[in-house]
Amino acid sequence: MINIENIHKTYDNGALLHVLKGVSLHIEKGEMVSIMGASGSGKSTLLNILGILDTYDEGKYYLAGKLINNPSENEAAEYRNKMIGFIFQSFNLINYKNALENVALPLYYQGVSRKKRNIIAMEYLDVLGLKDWATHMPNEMSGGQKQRVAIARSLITKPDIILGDEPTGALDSVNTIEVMKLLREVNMQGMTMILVTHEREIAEQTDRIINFKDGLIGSIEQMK
Amino acid sequence: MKELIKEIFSSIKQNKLRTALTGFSVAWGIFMLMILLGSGNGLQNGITSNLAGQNLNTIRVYSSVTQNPYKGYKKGRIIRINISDAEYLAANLPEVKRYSVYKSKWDANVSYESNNISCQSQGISPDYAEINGMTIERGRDISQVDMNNIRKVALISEYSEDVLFGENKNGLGKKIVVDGVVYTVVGIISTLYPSSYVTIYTPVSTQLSLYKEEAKLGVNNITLELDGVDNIEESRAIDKKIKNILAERHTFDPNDNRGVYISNTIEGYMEFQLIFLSLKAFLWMIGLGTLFIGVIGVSNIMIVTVKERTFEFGIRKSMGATPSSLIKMVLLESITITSVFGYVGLLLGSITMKVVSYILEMNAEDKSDSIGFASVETFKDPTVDITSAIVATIVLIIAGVIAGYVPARRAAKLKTIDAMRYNK
Repeated sequence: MINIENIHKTYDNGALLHVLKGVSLHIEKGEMVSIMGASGSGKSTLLNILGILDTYDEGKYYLAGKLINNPSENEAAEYRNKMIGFIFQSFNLINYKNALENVALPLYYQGVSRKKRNIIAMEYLDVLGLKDWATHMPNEMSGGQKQRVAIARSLITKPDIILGDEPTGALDSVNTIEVMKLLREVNMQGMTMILVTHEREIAEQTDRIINFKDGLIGSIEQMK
Repeated sequence: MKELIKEIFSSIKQNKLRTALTGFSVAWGIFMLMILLGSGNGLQNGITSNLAGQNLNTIRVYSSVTQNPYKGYKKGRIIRINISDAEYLAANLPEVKRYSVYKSKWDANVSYESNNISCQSQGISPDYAEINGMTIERGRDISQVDMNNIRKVALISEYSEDVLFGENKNGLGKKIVVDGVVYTVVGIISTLYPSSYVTIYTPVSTQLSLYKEEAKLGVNNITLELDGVDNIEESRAIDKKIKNILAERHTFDPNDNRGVYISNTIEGYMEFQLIFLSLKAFLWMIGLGTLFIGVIGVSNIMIVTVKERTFEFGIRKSMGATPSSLIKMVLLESITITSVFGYVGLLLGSITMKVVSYILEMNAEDKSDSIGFASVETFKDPTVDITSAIVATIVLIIAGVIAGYVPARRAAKLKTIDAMRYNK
């Protein structure tokens, strides 16, 4: 599903910062992979490149066999909309939209009618146990509920991969277990999943742990 | 589009007070534009209505005094124009369609039975009434036969008819006495000019034959109605020709600035039009300036909004929003604010001008009732015409685009990852 070869990324914030120093990685379709590493090791940068939120300087990135090389903003938007789902640590829900509207938003950018996307969004909220919270605004929900809304939103377009940047980072232990269980269920349905995490116990629930160190893959641990 | 509009309204709802305050500046701008344009129209309509009936394609020639010595004559000589000058000019200038002359006598005493009025008696030629914006309401005009036969016939105004014969009494065919001479009323006129309300009109030939001493002074003026003279240059050329002809007939310097005084209504009318055009341009400029301030306000608010929503735009982009969809969103948001509030201003401005127009109309009727004839108005029907409203609508949309352009570009230029990191 994902194949990256010798990826380099340097930031120029006055001083040059070589964040990724030649990362190569292959992730199979349906695999659930976690990326661990110290702050500044380059794990989030890699996730952003995989999510086509950011560009890389050198190397090659193949997503579902397609070379992703500095796509235009429109092409990138299409990839993100159709192939990638994002789950963020801080949920990133739009605060003036209710749960249903937040979940349905990716379908808006696919041109799906309001009526149809609301029906689909409600189905996802139902599956995630949030049907009764459909009309609630994000500020009326708990962290766990918000993250489940965010997960529903990431799934609604049936993407090929889900990218999670510390998806349980803002949750308590009960909600963390619940969310991880949910993500595993989604993964079991064949969706490729890449999670960036600081927490070892979260990473251990995935198929593989990729340990980053100083912009390079330090080690890979096969968990299952 | 429906979806986009719903999206826009849900985001506008986020900042109701700020949107309302921003919108107010646009509404005020367009309101002021409507008031200014309406006032300009009112002023023009008022003055134009006062000109209604006046023949705007005429040249008037008056007697005057020479300024230059010429062929042995000293300066300061009075040149007295007369009927034969009018006939000669009409015969020799193909541009002259018809002509009229008048000779006035002040303090004529007009009476019918026990009623009498003191007024101006004016000797006129045929066509005078029509050329000078008077309407024969009943009866007939002074004719050439009246002129040739030096008939004692008269035209009087409706007002004079009421005074002499009593209200709603018909004076047509009745005999009136003017300075001891009996005249038959052959026509009743209506006129917009207050000076004509109490003037009695008789054939100029009759007037000159009765007042021989005054006849020596010539006529007061000659009015030439022109045909095919459409611009200032052509009308000035005619002025020159008239001057040359009269200079030759009365032996004065054709380059004398005086000698005869020529008043050209075509030139005056065109200058009048130019003044109104300039006034309208000026009013548009002030109105658009006020509106522009509103637009700047909307633009600033949109820039702040885009900045505040940078993170949201990042989220939207991560879910598939394209730069064009964000541009569309910001632009339409801006156009929506300017259009909705602009229309409120447009509506309020139009209603205000309608109310002012109604009040003016009521006042005009009151005046008319109290003095018995139509009052002279300088301000009339100050409403905004449909063309101005359409132009204002286009201006609103353009204003919305201008207000939204800079923030929309900012939103579109945002890199997804930078937007998502914004304020974090």
